[in-house]
Amino acid sequence: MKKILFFLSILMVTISSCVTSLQPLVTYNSAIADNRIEGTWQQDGQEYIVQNVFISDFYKKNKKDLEKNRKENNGQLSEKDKKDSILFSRSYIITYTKNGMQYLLFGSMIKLNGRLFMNFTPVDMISTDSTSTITEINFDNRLNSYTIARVQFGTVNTMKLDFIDGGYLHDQIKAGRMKIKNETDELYGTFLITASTRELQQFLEKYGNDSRFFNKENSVTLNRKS
Amino acid sequence: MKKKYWELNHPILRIIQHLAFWVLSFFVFLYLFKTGAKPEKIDYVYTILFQLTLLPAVYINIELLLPTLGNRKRILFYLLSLITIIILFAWINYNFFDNWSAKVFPDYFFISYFTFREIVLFFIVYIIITMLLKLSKSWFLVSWLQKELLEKEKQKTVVELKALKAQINPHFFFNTLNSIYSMALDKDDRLPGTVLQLSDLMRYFLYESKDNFVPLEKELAVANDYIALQKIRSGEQLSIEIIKQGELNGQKIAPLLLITFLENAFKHGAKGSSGNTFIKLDIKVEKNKLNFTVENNKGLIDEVNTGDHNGLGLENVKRQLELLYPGKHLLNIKDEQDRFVVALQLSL
Repeated sequence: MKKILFFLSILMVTISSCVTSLQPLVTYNSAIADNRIEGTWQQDGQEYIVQNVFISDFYKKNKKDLEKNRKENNGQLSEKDKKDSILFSRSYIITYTKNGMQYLLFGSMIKLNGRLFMNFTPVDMISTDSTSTITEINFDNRLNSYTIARVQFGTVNTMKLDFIDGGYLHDQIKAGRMKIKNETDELYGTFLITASTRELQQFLEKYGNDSRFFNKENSVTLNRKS
Repeated sequence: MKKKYWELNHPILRIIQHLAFWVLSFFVFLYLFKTGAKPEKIDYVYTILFQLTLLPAVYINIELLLPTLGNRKRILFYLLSLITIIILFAWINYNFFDNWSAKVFPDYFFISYFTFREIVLFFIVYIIITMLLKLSKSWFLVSWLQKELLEKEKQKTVVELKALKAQINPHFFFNTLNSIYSMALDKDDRLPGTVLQLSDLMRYFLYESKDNFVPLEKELAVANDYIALQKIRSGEQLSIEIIKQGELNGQKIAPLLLITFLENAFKHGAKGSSGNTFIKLDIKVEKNKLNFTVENNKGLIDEVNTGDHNGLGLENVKRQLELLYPGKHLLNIKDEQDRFVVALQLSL
């Protein structure tokens, strides 16, 4: 639970009232690439850089480890590496800096019922403040959790991210009107969706356009900078 | 019988049985489908709706397909129809939860939590369970009907045996009274003793032969009386040879069985013959076995051909043996030119 709360606290720095899932919405065999997302985006003065994983600095930094793994495996890719490779080729690293910390998120997209969805998971936090005692928090050995948002590209270089309203979702579960596997932490008032990837996809296929799950408070519109 | 039939087939009872099955199934599903530690409102709604899609498939099968197509000749049509029903309702189940429920129940949020294949498996399991229940109920009904049938057969056998005994006794008495009548006409001195012996025989026939089985000792004693009676009637012309072997040790036998064979021997031989008349009797008793052979010469004018009851005694005794000693007797009748032999082997 500590690990989960740790991730939640990080995500909640940027997005309030979001939904966190233990399982990813997107897997290697369902991920799609959409180049429209690549580039630099901004919102209220905050910049977000989106790059394909393979051309990101994060990948370049970790490439040595990946190649080392490959050498240990007689130059062959393991099954996991193959799947990761497919997923990385269709996924993105989102980088932004806030309060002296650089945040790196890993994002993958999926098309469900004609709509684009993206799940995010934090991969790295690097201090940009030379006086800070914490220089980097790496997520390699941590249990991943995912935040899900609906992605809508506007006609004039805009991108809207509609995060699922966690408050509404939680209320429905508490009222016994929503059937989805979850774990609630009564102490901190947080909850985690534990449904499988398939169930998450089915839910969004069915309710991905339901306005009750997406509201203005949980929406972010980004403008393309370059 | 009516009470039992009511218990098994009364519509109210059937409804109660079906309701009990579905209520039990509901709670099993509820605890299987629940997402949290205890079932929530949505779990109840989901379970009810899931069962509602199972109901038509189950009842179409047990009320329509099984009775009309559930036989060897139509098994292929039955299986095809069953597969169609399973696929159709599994598809309805899948689509209802995955698509249509949002329109029917807009305030409840659920999806199909199982793949189409898993739902098909659910349906197959339910169809099999309900079919087995239906078949086991039918099996109980058939088994009960068989038991009833056996009981009726048994009752019928008892009635038939009584009827057979009723046929034997008048037949015997008719012949004996004819003999006594002849003795009375001849003013025979032995008549009072003969009447007394007849009286003893009548007691045995009327009172002691009501049971299905009597002591073999008693039956042989009565056979002796009967022979004595017939000997008086036949006079010096009749030669009777009796060989007895073995020990009587509480063995039991159907009453009047041996008497009927003796009666038959006297009718064929003693009465109808004109000289060199004989009856040979061989009785061998073992622990649980009786070998009884009676041999007689055949008369020139056979008595049995003159009456209305030709061969009735032997036919009766054959039927009696079938009813009382099924698979436990061997009856061999030799009807030769000048002699008649009856050999009976009986497991006691």
